[in-house]
Amino acid sequence: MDVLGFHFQDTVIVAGFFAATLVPALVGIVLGAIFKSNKVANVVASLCIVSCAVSVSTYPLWHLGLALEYTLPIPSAIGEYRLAIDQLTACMISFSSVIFMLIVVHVVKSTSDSGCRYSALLNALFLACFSCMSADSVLVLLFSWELVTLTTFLLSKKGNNDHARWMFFAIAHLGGMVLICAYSFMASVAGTQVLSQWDGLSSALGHWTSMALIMAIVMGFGTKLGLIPFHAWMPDLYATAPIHTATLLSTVCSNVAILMVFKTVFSYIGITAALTPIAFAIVIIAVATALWGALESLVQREPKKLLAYSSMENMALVVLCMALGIIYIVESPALAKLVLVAGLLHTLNHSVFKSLMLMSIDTVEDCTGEKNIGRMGGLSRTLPALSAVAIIGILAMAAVPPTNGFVSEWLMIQSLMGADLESKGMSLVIPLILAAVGICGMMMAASYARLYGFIFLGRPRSEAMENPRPMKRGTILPLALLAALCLGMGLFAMTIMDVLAASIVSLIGMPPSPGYRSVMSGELLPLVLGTAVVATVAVLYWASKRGAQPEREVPTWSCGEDLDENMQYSSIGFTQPLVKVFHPFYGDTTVVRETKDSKVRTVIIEFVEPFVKYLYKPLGALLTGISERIGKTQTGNIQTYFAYVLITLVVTLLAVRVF
Amino acid sequence: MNPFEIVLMALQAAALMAVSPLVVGIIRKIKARMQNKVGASVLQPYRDLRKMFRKESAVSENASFLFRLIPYVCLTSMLLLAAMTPFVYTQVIAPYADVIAMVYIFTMFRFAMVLGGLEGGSAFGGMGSSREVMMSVLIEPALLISIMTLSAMTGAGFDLSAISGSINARGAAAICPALLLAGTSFVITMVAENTRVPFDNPDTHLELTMVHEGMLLEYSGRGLAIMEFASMVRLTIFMALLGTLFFPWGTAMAMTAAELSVSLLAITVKMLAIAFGIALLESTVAKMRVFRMPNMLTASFALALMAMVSLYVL
Repeated sequence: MDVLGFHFQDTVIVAGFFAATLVPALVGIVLGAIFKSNKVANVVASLCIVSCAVSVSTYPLWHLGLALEYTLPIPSAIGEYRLAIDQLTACMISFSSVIFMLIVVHVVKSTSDSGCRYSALLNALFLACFSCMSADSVLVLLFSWELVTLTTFLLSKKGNNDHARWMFFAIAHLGGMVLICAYSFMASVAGTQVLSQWDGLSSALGHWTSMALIMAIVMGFGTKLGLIPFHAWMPDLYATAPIHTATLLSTVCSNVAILMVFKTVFSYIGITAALTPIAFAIVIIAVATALWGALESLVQREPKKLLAYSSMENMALVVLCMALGIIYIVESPALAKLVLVAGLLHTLNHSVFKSLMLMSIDTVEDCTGEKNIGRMGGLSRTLPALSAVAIIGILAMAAVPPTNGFVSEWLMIQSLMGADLESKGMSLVIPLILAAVGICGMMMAASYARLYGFIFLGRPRSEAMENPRPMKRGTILPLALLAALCLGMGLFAMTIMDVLAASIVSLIGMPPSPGYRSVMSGELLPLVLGTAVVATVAVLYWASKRGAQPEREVPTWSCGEDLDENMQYSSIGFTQPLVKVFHPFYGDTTVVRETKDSKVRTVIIEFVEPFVKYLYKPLGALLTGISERIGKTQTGNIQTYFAYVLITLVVTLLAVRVF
Repeated sequence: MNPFEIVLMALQAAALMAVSPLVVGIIRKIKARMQNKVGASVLQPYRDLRKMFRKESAVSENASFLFRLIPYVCLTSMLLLAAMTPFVYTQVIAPYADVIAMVYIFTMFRFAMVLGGLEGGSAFGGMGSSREVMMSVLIEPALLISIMTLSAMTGAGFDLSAISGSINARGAAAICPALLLAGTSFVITMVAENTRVPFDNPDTHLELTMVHEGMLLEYSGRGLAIMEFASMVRLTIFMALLGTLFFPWGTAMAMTAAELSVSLLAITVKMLAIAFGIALLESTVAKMRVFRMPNMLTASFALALMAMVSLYVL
């Protein structure tokens, strides 16, 4: 290949690319580990930005036709550390790097989380995510996935949030353990640990084993995505961890997990008709997760917890698409392409709007020092720039045209309804899924309306809201870029869909025709629709302002009373009607605490996560109980241990004698 | 597509918007007559809109720029929908979206209005918005599924014109349980979405049970006129959809003078019949308690679901 008149061999360019991606991050880790000063922290973070910037070029390089394969120069007794990047991986890496980069820019600008240690760990997380996505051998995959868990665990330390961190650590490791078992087993069956040589293992595995493995893979990666019942760590960790950690977990790490599930299920294991039943099980889990996320988001008091449940709902929709892909792929490959494109597009879109919203909400908390949505309000007048970017994020999350969130939800429903399958069972399932997706979408929209309405609109509900500190300089830049992405990806969604469709075709090895558009029964021109919306609003606004009488600013109508800050609708009250409608699902999650002071009586309604109350707490208590009982045998008395040795010896001798 | 056809399609979208205050006026007139009153002229809504449009608007000091923009967003969404609703002629001018996008444009309208209700920081706006989202959680899926049922029934994809044309072409043979169930669900959705009795009373600002008017409470002058007009257009679009999508017989499918005049007559009769139905409902049924609404909405949701299931089972 010729670059700037010089001729390079492809392998040199590829090696240079990998070196330029990995080395700055590695240097960053070393620097961050040695030094402590804040100046070095910025250098370390910049190195991470450099790495991200280089890895953004992954897709362009792939597009040039380079074979992006590389073996890490690390000697090993158990196989090579191979990296290989196919089209889908290239897409995901490039895209996730953009998000990663913007988050790191925000880290540098906001300075709330920066510090050498934090920046070094960011570099490590980048390396882990990059190598996990591009892993071509089981060893790299498992090692880097473990590194993702470890670094995010270390990154989430802030104040005294040990409970939330260890909860995450335990659940993520449960998933990690399942994955280690699954991949080692597959490697033993395949006879090689090079992933690109695993081509449709399902024929060798037999369909029962394949189904079990698919479930293990989905649930194993699902611990990070928040599939029921592994979502229990999300709300607390999102609320207590440094925001950039939560943002990375919700966006880049989720992208990694989704990509690995897609690659493993569709390429490494391979789908045959006999594997369809497991997809129905995954559909049920995904729908339950989505509904649960939507229901719980309605009652959250802290904006970050609300966003945690929103992440869970969005990722459940992606997993739902994947499961439908498994069902469709045998009977109708074109439809499978459509549904998988919908899932991947939603993954990408989610990482844009969720990072935008999480960081915006953190800016709000940073500027006002308030964490309870019930005490916020009225920020749109004091922080106009932030509220302008936040509204775009909210519209995208609520799937309002012409944002990116709308396009992917539209595509999802499109792919659900495109199903013209012969099997009667499916025809009965589809309307139910459609209903669930519709209800989830509207419930989440209610939550998002609450999020924006009670933070940015209305009157301030506390002192801190009236005079917030100004935003730190430059923090608006990454947010504005993300907001622009929300709109741009909505308008140019068709181009992104084409790229994703081509990647899926090459990943699964399907024939390129019939294309995914052949089963789209509706037509959507996002560019035309978006332009129509914006242009019409602008023209109407302009036309109507001309010749209008000047408007008058008046106090909000209050029936003649003076309004105090509590005399407006409360945030919990806003969704209370919905909670009342769906109350059977909440069960006894409501705890009313009453403080009987001499003068003031306060009633606090608390919502507890039933999965923690009824699953994790009893499970923890059981395990603690067992270990305490085992602990009793350890008396520390030397005679007791002699007795144990004696008993063991006698039992062993008897056993040997008998058998 | 010849130029004459484009003009016709643009005309039908314009006509849909132009007659919407008249439709509201007719409903009010029929209601008044049923209550033995003379009632205002059917043209009164035009006069009200003109008067409000000219008045000075007073904006709450807590409201942001969004508040000033929301009426235009609402009107825009209705303009976009009017351009894609078959009214007199099956083909429509707007090629940018299908029925799924249509449901999302309704959501856009609703979302903008809910945020507008929260702008003033009064208790009324918040209450209206809160109830609106409660209703929408059940309304929107029902709307989506009932329209999807038509799409699945006709196999015409998600194109409104194609669905309407396909049912029309089948004639009486198109009447099947799915169509009737979906139609019933759509009627309930129409009444709820447009906040008519028994879900909400569109005529009052005083009741604590209000939904729609609660959200509009802070608007005045030109903003209020636009919001009211957008709501009128929404009602008319729903009525037109009921008339041309669920019971499309008579709607012109070809560009001939005979078909178009029959179609014009048919849609007039249909709109009058639906208006009469709404007026009758509003005169005979009392407004529901707020927490009774979900039962009715769930019924609509269940009907839509049954409609779709019946397609596959029967």
